[in-house]
Amino acid sequence: MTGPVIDVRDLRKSFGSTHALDGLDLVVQPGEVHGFLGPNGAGKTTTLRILMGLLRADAGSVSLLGGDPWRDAVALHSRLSYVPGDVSLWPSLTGGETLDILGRMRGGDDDARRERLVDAFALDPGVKVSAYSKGNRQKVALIAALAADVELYVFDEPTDGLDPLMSEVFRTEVAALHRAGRTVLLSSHVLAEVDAVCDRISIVRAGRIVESGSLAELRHLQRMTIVAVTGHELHGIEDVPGLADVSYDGTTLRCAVEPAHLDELLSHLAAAGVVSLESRPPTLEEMFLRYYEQADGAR
Amino acid sequence: MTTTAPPATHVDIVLSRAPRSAFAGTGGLLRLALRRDRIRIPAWSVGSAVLLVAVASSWDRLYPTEADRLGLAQSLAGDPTLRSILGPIFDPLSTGGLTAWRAGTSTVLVLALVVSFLVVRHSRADEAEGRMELVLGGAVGRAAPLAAAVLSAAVLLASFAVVAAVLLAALGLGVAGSVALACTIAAAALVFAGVASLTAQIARTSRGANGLAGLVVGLAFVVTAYGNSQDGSPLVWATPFGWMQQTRAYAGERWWLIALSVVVAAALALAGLHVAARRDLGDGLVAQRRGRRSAPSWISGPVSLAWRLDRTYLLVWLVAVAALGALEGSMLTTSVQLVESNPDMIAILEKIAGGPADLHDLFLVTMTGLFGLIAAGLGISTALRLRAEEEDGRAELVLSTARSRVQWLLGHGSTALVGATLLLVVGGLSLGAVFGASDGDVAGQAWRAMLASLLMAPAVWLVVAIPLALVGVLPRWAAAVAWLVLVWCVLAGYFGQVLGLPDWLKQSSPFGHVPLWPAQPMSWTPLVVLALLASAVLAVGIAGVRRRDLPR
Repeated sequence: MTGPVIDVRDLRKSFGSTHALDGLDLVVQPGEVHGFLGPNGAGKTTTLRILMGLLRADAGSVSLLGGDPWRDAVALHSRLSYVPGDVSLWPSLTGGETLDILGRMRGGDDDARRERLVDAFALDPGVKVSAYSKGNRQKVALIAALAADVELYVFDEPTDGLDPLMSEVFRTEVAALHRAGRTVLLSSHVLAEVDAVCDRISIVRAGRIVESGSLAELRHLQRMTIVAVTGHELHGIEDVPGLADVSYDGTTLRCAVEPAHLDELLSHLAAAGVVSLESRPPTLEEMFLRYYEQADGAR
Repeated sequence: MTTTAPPATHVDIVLSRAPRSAFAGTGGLLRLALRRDRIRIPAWSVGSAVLLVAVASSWDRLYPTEADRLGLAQSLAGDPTLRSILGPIFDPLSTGGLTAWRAGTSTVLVLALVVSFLVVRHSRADEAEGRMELVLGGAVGRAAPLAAAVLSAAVLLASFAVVAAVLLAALGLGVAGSVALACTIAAAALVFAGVASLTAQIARTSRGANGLAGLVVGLAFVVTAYGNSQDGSPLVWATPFGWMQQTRAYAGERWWLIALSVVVAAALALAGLHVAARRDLGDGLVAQRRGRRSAPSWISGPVSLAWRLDRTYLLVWLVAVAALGALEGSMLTTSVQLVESNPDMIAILEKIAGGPADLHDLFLVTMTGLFGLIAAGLGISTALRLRAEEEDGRAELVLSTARSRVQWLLGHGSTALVGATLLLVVGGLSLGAVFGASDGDVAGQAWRAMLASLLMAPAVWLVVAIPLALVGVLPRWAAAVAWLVLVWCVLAGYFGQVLGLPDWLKQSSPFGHVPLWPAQPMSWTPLVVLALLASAVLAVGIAGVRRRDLPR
C-alpha cells in the first residue's frame, strides 16, 4: 500500500454538548507502530471507535486501509484486528471457545499461531470467562487480536490489568509485528509502554492532536536536563536564553535547557572550567507533563 | 533476623478460631443492602401480601354459600393433581381455610425464590463482581456481607408477614389464623434464605449459587407434592412446604411448625456464616467446572453465538411451560366440572371469548392466551440481551470483526422470536397431550391445542419486535417500553372487563385481535395484519441499528 493506513483529518464528534473530538488529525503510515497518547477523556477511545465504524463522525474525513470505516466496516474488519479499551467477554463461555468464535467471526485465524500465543501469555483456555481475573480476560482479547494475520492492529489501552511480565510478552509480540511490517496503532496513557514499542507518537489532548512525530523528533524539541560542576564561578548564566529550573550553589549547576540553546550553555560551562557534566534526554513523562504545562499556561 | 512477635495469648487464639470480629460492619452493610433494594424489597413483600389477600377476598364472591364450598371441596378432593401440589384442605368451609390451601404454597414458592436470589445478590454476586473485595478492605468482618444478606431477606419476609397478617385479619378471617398463615409462609421461605447462604458458599458464581438454591426449592416442592399424593406419607413433614401446609392455619394451628422453620433457617444461616468466615475470598466449595478448550464448529457468527448463549435459558422456559401445560391439561376436566355448576364463571369466560362456546374450548383459549403472554415475556427478555451486550461492551468486540450490525441485531433477535414461537408450540402440545390422555385422543388433542396456541404467534412477534426496533432507534428506552407494552397487554387482556375499559382500549393490545379458535370461528385477516406489522416494526429496528452510534 502506498498511502497512509490511517488518515484522519479535522475529525469532530460531539456527545450532546460535550465535544469529544475537536478537529483531530491522525496519520499512520504502513509498517509504523504508532503510539496514541493522552490522558483519560482526551478522545482516544472515541477516535478508535470511529475508526472501527462503531461511531459515526460528525465532521471531517476518515480513511482506514483506503476505505471508509463507517460504510465499508465489514469488509475492512477482515483486514484488521481490534482490542477495545474495556474488555468484556461472555461469562458462560471458556477462554478457548471465545478465541475460536472471535477468530471465526473475523475470518482467517491461524491455529498454530494462536496456540503459540496461548502458551506465551500462559492462558488456560479451558476455564470459563466468569472465573478469569481481569488480566486473564485482557489476555483473551489480546490473543484473539494477535492471532489474526492482518494488515492493521488497533489496541486501546492494551496492557490495562496485565502484570508486568505479561505486558512484556505483549511488547515482544508488538515488536514481532513491527518486524513483519504490520501497522500498529496503540492507545495508552502509560508512557513507558509507548516509549518501549512505538516509533512514532501522537499526543492528544481535549480532542485534538497537540504533537505528532517520531520519538527522536519530539525529544529534539524538548529540554535536556543538565547537571554540571565547574572549577570557577559561572558568570552570565542568566543571559543564556531557554533555561529553566535553574539552581546554582557556586559549584554545581542544575538546569533544563532547550536544545537550541545547549551550545551557548556549554560555552559558558567551558569558560568556567567544567569538571563534571551529566546530561539526560527528557523522558516521555517529562515531555508529557511539559505539554500540559504549556497548554494550561496558554489558557 | 530474630522473631520478636509476642507469644499468642489465649484471647488471640479464641478470637482467631471463632472470630467475633467476623461480623464487624454488618449493620452498615445491612443498611447498604436495604438502600440498594429500596424498591425490590417493598415491592416483593407488599406485592406478595396483596396477592394473598386478593385470593382471600375472592372466595365470598365465587363460592358464597356453604353448599357451594362443600361442592368445591368434594370435586377438589377427587383431583389428585391439585391435592398433590397445594396440599390438603383442612377447612373448606372457612374463607381462611380455603385461602391457606389455595395461596399458601404458591406464595412460599415465590418468596423462597425471591429471598434466595436476594441473599445471593448481596453475597456471592458482590464477591464474584469484585465489589466485596472493596468492602472487605474496610473495617468489615468476613462474615458480615453474608450476615447482612440474610438479614435483608429476613427484613423482606418480616414485612411480608406483618402486612399479610394485618390485611387478612382486617378482612375478618380470624386473627390467630391470619397471624399463623402469614408467619408460617414467611418462616418457610426463610429456610430457603438459609439454604441460599450455603449455596453462596458452595458455588463460585452468582448464577451457580442461584441455580443451586433454585434446585433445592424445586426439590423441596416436588418432595412435598409427592408426599401429598400418597396417603399418610411421612414426606409431608420433610420440607418447609410441608411444614407450612401442616401448620393448619385457620384450622387448629400448629404453632410449633413455625418455630421449626425458624430454627432450621437459623441453623442453615449459621452454617453458611461459619464457612464464609473461614474461606478465602472468591473461593467456593465446588471447584470451578472446566469447560471445552475450543468452540464447536457451528458457532461462527452473532446468530449462532446467540443460540449458544441463550439455549439454556430457552430450555428452562420450554421445560417450565411444558410443565405448566401439563398441569393445565390435567386440570382442564376438573376446571370444566367446577365451572359447569357456576353460571357466573361461564358468563365471565364467554365475555372473554366474545360469545358462547364449548366449555373445554373456552378453557383451551384462555390457556393458550396465557401461553401468548408468557411467550412475549420470554421474547422480550431475550431480545433485551442485545442491550446488555451493548452496555457491557461485548457488542463492540463483535462489531469490530467482519460481521454486520444487522447480523448482530438478528443474533438475540432470532433467539427471541423463534424461542417465543417454540414456547407456544411446546405449551400447546403439552396441554393438549395431557388433556388428550384423559379422553383417549392424545395426538388429536395435542395437535389441536398446538394450532390454537400457534395462533398467538403473530401477536407475540409484534410485541417482541418492539424491543428489537427500539434497540435500533431508541436503545435507552428499549427495556422500559417493552415491559410496559407487555404489562398493557396483560391488563387489557385479563382485566379489561373488570376495569371496565372501553373497547378501543382493549383492542389496542395485539392479543385482542387473535382469533379465539376453536372457541370461535377462525379468521385469517388479523393474523396476516399482525405478522405484517411485526415485520414492519422489525424493519425499523434493522434500519435504525445500521444508522446509529454503537455503543451509545
